[in-house]
Amino acid sequence: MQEPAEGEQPGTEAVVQELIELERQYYFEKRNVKTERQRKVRELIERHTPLGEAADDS
Amino acid sequence: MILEEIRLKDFRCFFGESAIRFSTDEEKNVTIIYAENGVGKTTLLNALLWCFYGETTRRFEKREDIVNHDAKKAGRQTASVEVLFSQNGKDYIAKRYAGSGAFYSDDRSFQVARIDTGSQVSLPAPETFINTVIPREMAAHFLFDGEHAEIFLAEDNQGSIKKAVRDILGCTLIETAIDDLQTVSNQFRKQMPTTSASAQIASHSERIEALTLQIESANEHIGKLESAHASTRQQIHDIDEKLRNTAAAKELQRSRDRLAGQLIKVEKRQKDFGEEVFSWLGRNGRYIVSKKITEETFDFLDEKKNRGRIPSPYNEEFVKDVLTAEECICGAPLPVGSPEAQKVASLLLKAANQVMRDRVTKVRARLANLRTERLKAPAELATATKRLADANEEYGVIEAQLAEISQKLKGINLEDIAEREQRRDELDRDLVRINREIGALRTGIENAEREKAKLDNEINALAQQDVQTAIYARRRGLCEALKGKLEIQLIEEEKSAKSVLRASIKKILDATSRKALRLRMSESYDISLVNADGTAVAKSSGENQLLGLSFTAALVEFAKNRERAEDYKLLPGTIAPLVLDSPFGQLDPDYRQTTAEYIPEMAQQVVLLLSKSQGSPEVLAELSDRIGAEFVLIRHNREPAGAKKPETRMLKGKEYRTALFESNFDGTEVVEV
Repeated sequence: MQEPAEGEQPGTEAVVQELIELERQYYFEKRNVKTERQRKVRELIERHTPLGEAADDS
Repeated sequence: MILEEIRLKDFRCFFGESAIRFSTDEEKNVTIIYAENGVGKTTLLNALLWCFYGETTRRFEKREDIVNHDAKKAGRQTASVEVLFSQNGKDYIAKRYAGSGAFYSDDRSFQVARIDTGSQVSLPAPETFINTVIPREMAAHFLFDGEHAEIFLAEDNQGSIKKAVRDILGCTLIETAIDDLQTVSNQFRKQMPTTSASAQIASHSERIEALTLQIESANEHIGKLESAHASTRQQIHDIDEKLRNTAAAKELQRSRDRLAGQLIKVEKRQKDFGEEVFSWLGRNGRYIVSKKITEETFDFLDEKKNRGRIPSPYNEEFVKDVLTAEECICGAPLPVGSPEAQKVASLLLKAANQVMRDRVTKVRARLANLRTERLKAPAELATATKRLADANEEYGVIEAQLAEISQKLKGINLEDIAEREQRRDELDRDLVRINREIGALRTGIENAEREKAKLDNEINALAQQDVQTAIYARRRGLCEALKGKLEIQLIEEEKSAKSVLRASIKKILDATSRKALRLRMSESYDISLVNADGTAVAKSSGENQLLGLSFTAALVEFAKNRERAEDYKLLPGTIAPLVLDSPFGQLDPDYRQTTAEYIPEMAQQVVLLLSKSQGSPEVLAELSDRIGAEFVLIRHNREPAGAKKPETRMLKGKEYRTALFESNFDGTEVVEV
């Protein structure tokens, strides 16, 4: 797995990995379900930016 | 994947049942299918694509019309294609059916089964399986359409070349992730709650929505225009091909081909010289505009020098030495604190030191340089401008010659030549109009994107200031950060892929071309061939068809090398058979031979679709040791031969009639040679 680049929030790479895994699963197993896939991507983003935390993810 | 057999049943021009068993021999890895134009070469290529993915190439006309017309007349309503293949040592059969009724429009119309000791075990997710064998995005690149090669590599087709590289690189997951993140980020923006501070956010958001619709509609329009552009180019290409093969127009068309080649070279020169003039102005413009200031500064320095003011008549080091020695050079004493010593010390205020002297010297040198360069400037600029003017003039002359040829062709009232040329003229005008429209739409999109990005940044800044909207700003921030990271990675992957492809194409060109040709592939995927002296090779030439073939071969090799790639973001490559339709189109006999020699090396299994003119004795002799199977497609016609000359072909010492008349059906028959 790739190391986070200098100045990058630690953990971004882990989110990318999770995101790509999700895309891979839909690419091979559930094609043509774009809305469902995008809902999962949204859930993933929400999970990594919980309410009440003030961290800057950008 | 190794192709073993294709079985067609009433598929398009193939009436009844037809089958081709491909050579699976590692040494004799070439299967040749001989067929004249219009008999079914492109249909065969599309049968493979259709069976695996339910899709056909853009050039495949009447895509929905799958069932053979005569079969329909005979009461048969279905067509099918079955492909037997092996993958990782196991045998499979893929089947796709077309027809009317629910069965043919749902998932059951496509099946893949593993062949285990004679029995077939259906796979539960056939599409998924096929996608793991050859990802759909990569498949089309294993099918080389020789007649389309030069259009694929055309200067205005960089989008397709970029897509080809990305497809073979397996970027689909990254690209989809980027799109999804954009969609999700938009969702967060739209869902920001209404607060006292969010009125501006709402207004910005509304504007972004309007701009997004505008961009989408412009992109959709561009897509249609690009499709129209490709089809128009193809029609021009087809007309040129017909004129090339028409006795009365042959010479004029040849001249046009030659002039078109020259025109491309001149266009290249126009571009280069235009850039030269601009870059010269960027580099040296200061010499021209500096004339007044240089002269005035020189005058000032000289005047001050003449008056002994620059550099100062007093030297700082000398004055200090006199003061330290407490004695003037005339021998008069200068005791510290005496009025004489104070008077001498006051000279230090005007004295020049080494730093100042150096500075003046540097200013002089810089000004002298500006003056020298300025004197040279007009001559250099004049040379660059003259070159540009010459290129423009040459362009004008060639354009006039092309117009003259067109006029001559329009005046030939034989074999529909005039009508064809008239149509070609209209198509040419269409191309210009389409290009103009695309350019205007692209400018509009760029402006809208810029405004969107600005509004988007403002929304995020505003959202961060409000407790209720801050979380949306954070989530959008994460979307943007991930998107940015993936976009950077995509660019890096593409960059390294390009360098591998460049090296691979170079290797292939070295092996097949007798000229010292160099490949030029810009960052924006503008691909061209240049001679050793740096001049561009005409796009319509055989060398460029060779380039198209080399590009395909390089993609195939790249996919093969990436078969076991482990980067989790990219799809792995694949080993797939290479199907080459009319690869020798415009190659001259020498190129055909060297290319034929190289073709068996391009993939582990090669299927060659050849017309009589392409499968020359020299080509076949070169391939002879590598041919494992040969078929000929025979056209059956219900109508009588009339005045048509018999079409025959000698293959392995036997004569085949490739067009039969007064047959029981209109369609194509496959015969093994």
